[in-house]
Amino acid sequence: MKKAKALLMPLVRLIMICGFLIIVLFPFYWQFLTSLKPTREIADIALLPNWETASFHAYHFIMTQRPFLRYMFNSLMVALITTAISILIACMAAYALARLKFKGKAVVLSCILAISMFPNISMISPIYMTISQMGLRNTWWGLIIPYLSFAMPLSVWYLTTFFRTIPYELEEAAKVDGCTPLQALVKVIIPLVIPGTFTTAILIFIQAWNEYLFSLTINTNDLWRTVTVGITMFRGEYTMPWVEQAAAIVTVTLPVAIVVFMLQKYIISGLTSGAVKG
Amino acid sequence: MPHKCRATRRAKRGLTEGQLAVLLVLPALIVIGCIAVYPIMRTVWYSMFDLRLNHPTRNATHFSCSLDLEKYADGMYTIRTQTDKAIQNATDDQERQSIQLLADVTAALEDTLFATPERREQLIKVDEMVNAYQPVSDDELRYMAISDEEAKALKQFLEQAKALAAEAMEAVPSSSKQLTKAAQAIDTLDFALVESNFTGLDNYSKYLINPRLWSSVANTTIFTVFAVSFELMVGMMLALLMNQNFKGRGLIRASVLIPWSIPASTSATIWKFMYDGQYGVVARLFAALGIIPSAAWILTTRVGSLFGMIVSDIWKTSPFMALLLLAGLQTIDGTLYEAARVDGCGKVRGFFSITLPLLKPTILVSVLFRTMDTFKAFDLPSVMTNGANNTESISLYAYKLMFAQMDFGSGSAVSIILFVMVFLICMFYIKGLGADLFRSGKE
Repeated sequence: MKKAKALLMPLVRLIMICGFLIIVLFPFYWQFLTSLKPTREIADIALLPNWETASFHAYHFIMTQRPFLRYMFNSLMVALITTAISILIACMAAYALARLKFKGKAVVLSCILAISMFPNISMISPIYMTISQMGLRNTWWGLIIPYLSFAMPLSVWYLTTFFRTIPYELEEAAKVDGCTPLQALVKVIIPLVIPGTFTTAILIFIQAWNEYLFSLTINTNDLWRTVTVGITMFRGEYTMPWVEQAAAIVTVTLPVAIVVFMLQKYIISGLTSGAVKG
Repeated sequence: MPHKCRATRRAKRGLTEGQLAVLLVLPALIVIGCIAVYPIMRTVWYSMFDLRLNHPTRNATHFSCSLDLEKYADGMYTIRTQTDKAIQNATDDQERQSIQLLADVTAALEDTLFATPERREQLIKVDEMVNAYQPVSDDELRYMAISDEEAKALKQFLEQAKALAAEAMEAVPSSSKQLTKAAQAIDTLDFALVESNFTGLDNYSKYLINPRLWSSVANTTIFTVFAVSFELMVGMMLALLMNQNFKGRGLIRASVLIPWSIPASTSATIWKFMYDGQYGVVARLFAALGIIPSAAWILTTRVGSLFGMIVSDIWKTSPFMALLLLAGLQTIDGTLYEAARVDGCGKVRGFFSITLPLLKPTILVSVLFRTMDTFKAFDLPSVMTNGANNTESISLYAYKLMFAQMDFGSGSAVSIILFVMVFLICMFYIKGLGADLFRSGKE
């Protein structure tokens, strides 16, 4: 009886794990499968590609007939610049918030956390009007500036959490050896916080890459769209171009999935160490 | 800790710890203030106006009445030149008099409106620019604040002038061409008067009894309640699974990250295709299994669409929830379970008596964050149904008011209503349920 139970448990677990993996990965697999099909076969429910008709035609189409690479480039640049700016400024603030003693620290931190939860829709009307007046619509900066509204508070919050995990003694030692707080920051703290900073950068980058509302409203010119909006704008004249859309989704998801897979250690540590925003 | 001596040592070098801290925190605070806090306050401000981006005079906030001098000068110029021409064309005194009446009224208006030398000067400047076909882009020069009485006088003039022009046209058929032009110019003067579009709390009182807003609130609430509670259940199961030791645990943890890392708009696109009544693999599978009435049900009915949105949100976010809960589970001391087992406590009892109570803070915080995030949902409803079959979320409704109807006043009001609701939800979790948001932030 006991032996049977001991055998049963791993089996149940195995079934659960497989079921879970299938549910998580199936939608991606299905998009991949669809992207290889000719349009007349998209209603087929075969689970393996039909090698006789499968082709990468849709991939070729989106790369050459659509500004798809341009979308990806826009997304990449906007997300990178947003991340760089917010990390740079947030690092200083987080250092002070985690390390230095000053009045009103708790208030500042709680305000920053509260601000990171502001709905984007509640900020969009003035941001849209200001960006329009400044003539920044359909530029990268037109997105970077609004993106900072969520990237900045989040990076301060994440980084402060990371900076706190570094033993205080190291800084003390540096100070005893005659370092100023600034020197302590540059020579002792920064090397120690690079993993945490890197993690924060990944999380911010993903948030910026995934943003939809600002991108949808501010950059309406096809050449300045980001990938998130570009994918939803695949409209045919008479029919939905499902196959091309599937190819686009695979092209966008694959690199992100690979990067996430490789950096999973950092991402998980970032998501679980007090950083709670999805 | 030797604070005091540290502080004095630093003070000698010029900067105290507090000053340095302010210096370091300030840039971040300025950025956050400018692009997050200020916009929210502006939105509150906009929500108290009748602000329409596609309306000639209501496309900016006007707290008081003002006169658009560019349009005024342009219109007045036409009226003056056309009436002059008509007077010259006139054949007898009676005709001349009837046109002169219109010209006199116009002149009288100009005298009342531009009684002070400053106003005269402003008008002359604008006049010169209009004559040179230059656009008046300086708003301070272009808009002249006027009092409510003056606005009233202008309105009266417009009515009077319209009547006089009509009369003159009947009396002097020979000059009808000029008089028509003058009448048209009088009509355009309507737009020179920029009335205050401040409406106070009218937008709120209007939208708080708007059935479409409440149906969007209902949709959002149903979506949030179902999605978050299932995410918690599924996430908990996954977390318990991942907390066990087995081969390939790392693989599972990595694969859960993938749905989380893709954009919500992309996952909505992926699921929309799978829900399609004709081609969708999930819709047809569910229909074949009898879970849903027909394959087309998901995207063509209200309940179906909400069901579809909930399922895809569970798919996307419960893995993430699992990671958060897993982190909480790993802080629970394993010897507690040992002790409970020795005391004859089963696994189920152990879960309810040890795991759940100890995990409560983690659960509350993750559920709070998920609730707020789901309540704000825009990407998923926008891409999947775009509000078809009455499935609008509050964010989507506000977006449509702003960007489809260009009604930024109402849209801002609805978005502030959403903001307040999110705030109340947050307060409920913190005060009512005791969620401690800053647990991780405390030292």
